[in-house]
Amino acid sequence: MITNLFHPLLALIFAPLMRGIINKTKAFFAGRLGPPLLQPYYDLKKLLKKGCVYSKTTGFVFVLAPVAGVALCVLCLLFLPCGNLPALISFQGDLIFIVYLLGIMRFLTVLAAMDTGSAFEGMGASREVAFSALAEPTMLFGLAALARKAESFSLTPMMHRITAEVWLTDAPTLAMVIAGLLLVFLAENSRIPVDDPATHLELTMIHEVMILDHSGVDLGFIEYASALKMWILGSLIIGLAVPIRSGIIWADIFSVLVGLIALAILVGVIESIMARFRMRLVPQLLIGACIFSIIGFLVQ
Amino acid sequence: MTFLLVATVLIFLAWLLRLLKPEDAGIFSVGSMVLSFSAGLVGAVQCVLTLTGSCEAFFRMPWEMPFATFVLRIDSLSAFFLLPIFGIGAIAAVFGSEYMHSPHEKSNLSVSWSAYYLLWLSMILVVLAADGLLFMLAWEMTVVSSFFLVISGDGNRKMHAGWVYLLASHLGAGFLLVMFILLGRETGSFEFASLSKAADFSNDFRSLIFLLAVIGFGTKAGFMPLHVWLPEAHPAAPSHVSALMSGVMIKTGIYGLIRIIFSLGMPVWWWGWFLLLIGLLSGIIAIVFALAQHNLKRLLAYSSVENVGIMTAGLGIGLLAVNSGNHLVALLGFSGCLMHVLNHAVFKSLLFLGAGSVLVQTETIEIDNLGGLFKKMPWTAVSFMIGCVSICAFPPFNGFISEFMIFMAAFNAVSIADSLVAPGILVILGLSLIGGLAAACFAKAFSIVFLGNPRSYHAVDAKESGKAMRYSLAFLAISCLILSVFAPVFLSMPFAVVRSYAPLTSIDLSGFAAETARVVGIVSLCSLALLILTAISVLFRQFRLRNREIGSEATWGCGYDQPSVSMQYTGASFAQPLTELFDGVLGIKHESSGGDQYFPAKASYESHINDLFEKMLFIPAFRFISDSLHKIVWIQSGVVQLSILMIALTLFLLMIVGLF
Repeated sequence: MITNLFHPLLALIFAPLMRGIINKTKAFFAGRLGPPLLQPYYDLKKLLKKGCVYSKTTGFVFVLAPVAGVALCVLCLLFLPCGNLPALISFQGDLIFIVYLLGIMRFLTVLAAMDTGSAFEGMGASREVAFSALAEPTMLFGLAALARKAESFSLTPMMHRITAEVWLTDAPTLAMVIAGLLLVFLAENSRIPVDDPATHLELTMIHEVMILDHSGVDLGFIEYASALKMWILGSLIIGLAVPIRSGIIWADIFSVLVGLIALAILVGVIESIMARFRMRLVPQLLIGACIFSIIGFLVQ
Repeated sequence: MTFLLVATVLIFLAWLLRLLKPEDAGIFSVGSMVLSFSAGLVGAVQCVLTLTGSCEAFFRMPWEMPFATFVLRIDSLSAFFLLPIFGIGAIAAVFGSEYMHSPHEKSNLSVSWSAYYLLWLSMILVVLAADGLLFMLAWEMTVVSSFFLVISGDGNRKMHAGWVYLLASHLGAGFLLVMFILLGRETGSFEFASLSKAADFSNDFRSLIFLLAVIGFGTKAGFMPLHVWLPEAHPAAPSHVSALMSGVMIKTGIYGLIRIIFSLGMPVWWWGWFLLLIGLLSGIIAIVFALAQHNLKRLLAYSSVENVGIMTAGLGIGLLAVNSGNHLVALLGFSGCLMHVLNHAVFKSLLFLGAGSVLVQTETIEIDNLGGLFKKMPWTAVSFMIGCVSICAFPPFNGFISEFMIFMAAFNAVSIADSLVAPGILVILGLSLIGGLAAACFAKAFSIVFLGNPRSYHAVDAKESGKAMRYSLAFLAISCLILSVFAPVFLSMPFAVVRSYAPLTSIDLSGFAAETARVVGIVSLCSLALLILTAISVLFRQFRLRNREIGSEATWGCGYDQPSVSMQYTGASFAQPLTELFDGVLGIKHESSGGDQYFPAKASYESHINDLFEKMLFIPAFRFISDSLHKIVWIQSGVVQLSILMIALTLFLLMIVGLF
């Protein structure tokens, strides 16, 4: 039971690090020194020390979204297995629950953005709901393909059964599902090629523009929640891509940690070598991701 | 039966009080409200007793009607559907007693209340009737009483709405009549007790009955493309009536369909497929149409079609599982469908009542004219928000429980049963797409109406509604939470219904039922944990913010400090990325003028959306019929002598036919 708590604790501590690694990788490609690796932590510390400024238009929903976001992500962490370590809470259908928890987090963020009455934030909210409506089938379909492979739709037994041997026999399925999930990962965490977190023009943002009016502690909550969300989706991908199921606590945890660092570097590389897609192309990209998971389902 | 009798008497008394002094908003109205509410409570007690103890009751009375018998019967299936009828009927009556006295409503109060109570009573009779002809009679009574409610409402399209509704209902009823007559001829009696004989008939005959039932009951439930009356009738009716119609009345269609399917024995293989595809297609197309609507109640009406689609998909995968002998999937599919019936009744009535509260205060239901109501109407806003979260199937509210069960059925089908993989993946794909689009749709509905700044003078002067309306909204919102947190307790009710299905009666489902209840129990606990975690993070935020400065500023506008309300995103612009993606189905007509010169003067933009099936299927079909009938209109010359001659000729012809 205590060992099952390791992964959630690890996530709570190391989640902001992923963003630091991404930024460091991007800086490396750009030939810059870049911000320190721990910059996300310094940012969080700074934000949590501040007060808040609210728009006169906003109200209850605007305050609720950031705090609920952190609560939702923390709850999600309890369902994540780590290598062969079982999750703290595991039941048939926990993966559906995770998808819907992330769904309500997004729903509340959208409502908070609409609460400001700003055209920019409305634009971001409108794009967010449109793209996530297309990303959700990909995610559930990819998980369904895995459920068929593992003959279970609870994450813990599923991860338990997807071992290196499964990779030897069913590499195409797993690769396709991972490709689909990776695109969902990029879209849901608002990374290039769907969204550019570094852009300075409100018109071209999706996620960043939705949180323009949040400040201080609330902004800190949002940043932390999005770091946790990246960890949650990332550890699903790593669970598939790195089939180390030793059952030894340190080996399993180490493999997930290394995997996530590698994923963060990969994201940094993707962001360095390609540009954001035009908004019109994003739906095609997401439908393409869905087709990846469907092919993954069919080839097994 | 005693409880039922008491409930019925209470409803009659409530009706009587309304008739005695219809204009009175004082003691008579309050008395009627209390009587209606207690009728709902007493009736609900009977339902729960029947469902838990399976004490079926039977009531027979002599009746003069030829071929028919007056038989009432309450078994687990009818008790399950009776529960929302009593509950929502009572809440809607409480809400209506304030709503009908608002200056917005101009209809005749005694007529309106009579139609309301008649509708309520006839719906009770529909699910209790145990005789085909009695059922049809009650069925027609619901149609006629709700027709009067639809045309008594506001809106300039109410007559059109009323006729579309009446026509659609009677086309559906025609199929049902044929179905009952066929069944009655083959089984020898119109009584439901003899319906089970139908299980032994040939596959062709049973499939014919199944198809007639799907068309007849599907018209009421709102299967695509038979749904065209819903988006017309729901916006036209007074809001508490829309709540009753959309939350409960359309479910009598689902009830009838399940009743017939349950008496037809082992399903033929394609029935499940048929229902599954109807359900998913209805769900996806309807939610896309809902997303594009400008009228809040129309949006909710389309969303009802979508939710009926989800129920039908659950029913479909359940039937397929019965065919392939996978009883876990069957249990999950059926009970997911039934729980969604109950949950949808609660949150859809909540949303319609919330829309009614907005309508009374602002005199408009056009989404793009509203805005900023959260601060002015906090009770309505919070309840409406809970309704939106529930209907998008997000935890911790009740919508998630039922959709979760249907998802469980699909995932079980995919991961365990080989023969059910195809239906399983279709349900997963369809439900996830519906889920994402529903989130977009209700993010639009809630945020444009309640958040931001008021978009027109309608929304500026809004105030919170009175006590009766507020409390009924709060009651339903709390019910959404209770149905989720105590879900495992409520699950025994749909299980009792599923056990009464003939192909499953001989199978021991208790292991599967216990397992499902266990999983749903964990989900409920996690929903509770979510609330606690949110409370903890709220406390943490308060802790960080104590002694800190809280500033107040204008919304960030890129340095522009003169923002006006018209700069906000509207509902149409919010939905634009998705409506453009689905333009092939929607066919939105855009009209714009001005705004393209170098020095823009006054510009305008309009977009219109018509129902695909109304435009492409029903209007051409009815035009063809009326054109064809015009060709024989010369028979009806209007001269009395000619008409008498025709009668004589017909009689003469009949006599000759009779001779041979």
